[in-house]
Amino acid sequence: MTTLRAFTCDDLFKFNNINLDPLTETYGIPFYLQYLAHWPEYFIVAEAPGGELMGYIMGKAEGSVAREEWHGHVTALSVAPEFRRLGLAAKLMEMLEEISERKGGFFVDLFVRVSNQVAVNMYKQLGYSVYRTVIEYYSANNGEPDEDAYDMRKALSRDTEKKSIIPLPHPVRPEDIE
Amino acid sequence: MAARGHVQDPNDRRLRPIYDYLDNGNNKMAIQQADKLLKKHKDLHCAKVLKAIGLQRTGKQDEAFTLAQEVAILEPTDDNSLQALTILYREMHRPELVTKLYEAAVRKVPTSEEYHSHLFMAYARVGEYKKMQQAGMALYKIVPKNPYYFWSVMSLVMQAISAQDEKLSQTMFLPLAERMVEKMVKEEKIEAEAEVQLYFMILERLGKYVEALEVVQGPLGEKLTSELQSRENKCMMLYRRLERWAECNALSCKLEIVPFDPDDWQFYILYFDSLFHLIDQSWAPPQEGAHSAEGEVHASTAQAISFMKDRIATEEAKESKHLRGPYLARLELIRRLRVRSCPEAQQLGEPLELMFQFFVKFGDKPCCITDLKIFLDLLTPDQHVQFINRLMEAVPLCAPGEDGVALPGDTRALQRHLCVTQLSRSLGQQHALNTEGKLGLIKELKAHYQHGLQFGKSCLKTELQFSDMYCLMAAHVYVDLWLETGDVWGFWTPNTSSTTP
Repeated sequence: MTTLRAFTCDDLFKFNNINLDPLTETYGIPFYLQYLAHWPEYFIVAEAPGGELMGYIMGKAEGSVAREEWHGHVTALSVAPEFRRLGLAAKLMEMLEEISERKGGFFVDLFVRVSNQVAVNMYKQLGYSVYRTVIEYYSANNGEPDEDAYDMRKALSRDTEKKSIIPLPHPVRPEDIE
Repeated sequence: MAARGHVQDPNDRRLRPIYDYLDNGNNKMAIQQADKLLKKHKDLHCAKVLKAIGLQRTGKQDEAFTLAQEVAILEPTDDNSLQALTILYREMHRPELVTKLYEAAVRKVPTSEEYHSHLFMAYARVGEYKKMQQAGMALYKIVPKNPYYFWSVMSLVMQAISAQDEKLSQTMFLPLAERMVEKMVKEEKIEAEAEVQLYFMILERLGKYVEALEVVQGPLGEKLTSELQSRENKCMMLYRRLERWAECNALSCKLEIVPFDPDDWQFYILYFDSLFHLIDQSWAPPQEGAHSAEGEVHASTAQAISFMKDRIATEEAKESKHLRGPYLARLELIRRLRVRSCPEAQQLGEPLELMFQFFVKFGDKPCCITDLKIFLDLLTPDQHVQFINRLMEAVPLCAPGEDGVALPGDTRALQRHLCVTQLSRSLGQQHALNTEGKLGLIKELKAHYQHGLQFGKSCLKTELQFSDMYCLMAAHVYVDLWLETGDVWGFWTPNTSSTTP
């Protein structure tokens, strides 16, 4: 049982149970505020009957319409361990895809660590495929090597010929991303 | 860095390398190049500013500032200088200087849309709402584009929000903002969704909920497309403020049925809230016509019970995964009816039995614990032991080993066992044990933890182990013991072979 509502500034004080997880990035406050200001419709949180936060999704829309690159992007998606295996991530992704459809996006994409097998498999099950690999996208903080990311995509209805998801034959570097 | 788009004049070409150096963090070279350029063209203001940026970035704040002021004093009106100075002042955290800059520019070139825009942004950075309002209108006079008009309206709303005197907001700022928007509505000039959102925000702050409802439900409301369920959510909020419980109730009903989400907790709560308000008001449906603008209304406990039974029946009939929503809502309704001393609560079933059924369905999911915890108060104290025993019977465990501990055979059984153990703790059963009992419990929890590690052999080191919670619980019991006896009872002896991340 889940209440799905808009994420608010105050929720930043309540999301430790979600963010204190090795694979969840915690950004600076300005980053979250920027998303709340620009794309509030994409910032959705799930709340449990007892008031705890279960998980959230953060996204945006960007890219050139002329080049058929206007798309929805998943910046962050995380569900607290005690609320996993409820299909919540899938539900949040479904909402983001619906919003992107309404905006006329051609596809939805996201970045995920190549070692995060659990997440990669989940996205594959939701219909996403690997479009390209981005070398050293994730910088490590303590002398460990930077990690590569998969750029995974799912075509939306506007991309009738599914051109946006044809995989690139070679990896790219972070500087090469638009 | 600043816009280096079109190379309009030779200066841009000369300045480009300096921009590049600054972008790459090569401040020394930037300063050097700037100096070279200034030797030949000593009045190239922008070069001075770029040099100042280089100085600022190498920590020479004062020198940078003095140099910048040499240029600022001349009240420049070329794009490059203005933008470079803006960057410099922002890096120095002196946003108020940017306002001075563009105020001067606008005085010299009063028809420049660009300078007025920048001036508006400069005021925004320092929160000068009144000046923002004026700048917005000045912009609109130069170029009558909607965004400029609404920047002005928004500035009025900001003045209302930040006003020390609430009366001023209600009697001056907000009404003025409202009139400004109404003018656009009358002239049919509303274009963007954001403009409708702003209108809604103003009406809401004025407490004009009826008018706000008209906007949302009218043609303007059709622009509210970005957020999912935007119109329904806004209507619901307004019905609550207006205490229109009939509409609130009817809308909640609608929103708990496909194609909406039968798992959405907030609308069950609103359904119950509104229902009991209606009962207290002795609401009755009108003789003719619809119950309410949103459709059918439930205003009796019988209808609520019937509604809940329908939701459960729909859920049970599904072949696909069941949602927890209707089952938990049923328990919530029982609680509410009990609080109101309604004997009809019994028609929904016995909480112990219902919670047991819930556990059978959802006990292998971690959320079962937090879900059922909320409803433990529906059990009487003498039902606690019976409840835990029944739950435990439903946990498939293997035959006990020589240490007497029966262990789960797979991760689902493990999660179920974990759930029962945690609920037992919530009911205070662990606290009720004596010292010997607690020590025995710790031993059992440790055994479960060690045993459970085998299921997690393939887990990555970034994942939690299935049995981690047992370890945590054992720690909690140790703390309980310490609080009671002051003794640490071997808390510090490490669990062997644990590699808990």
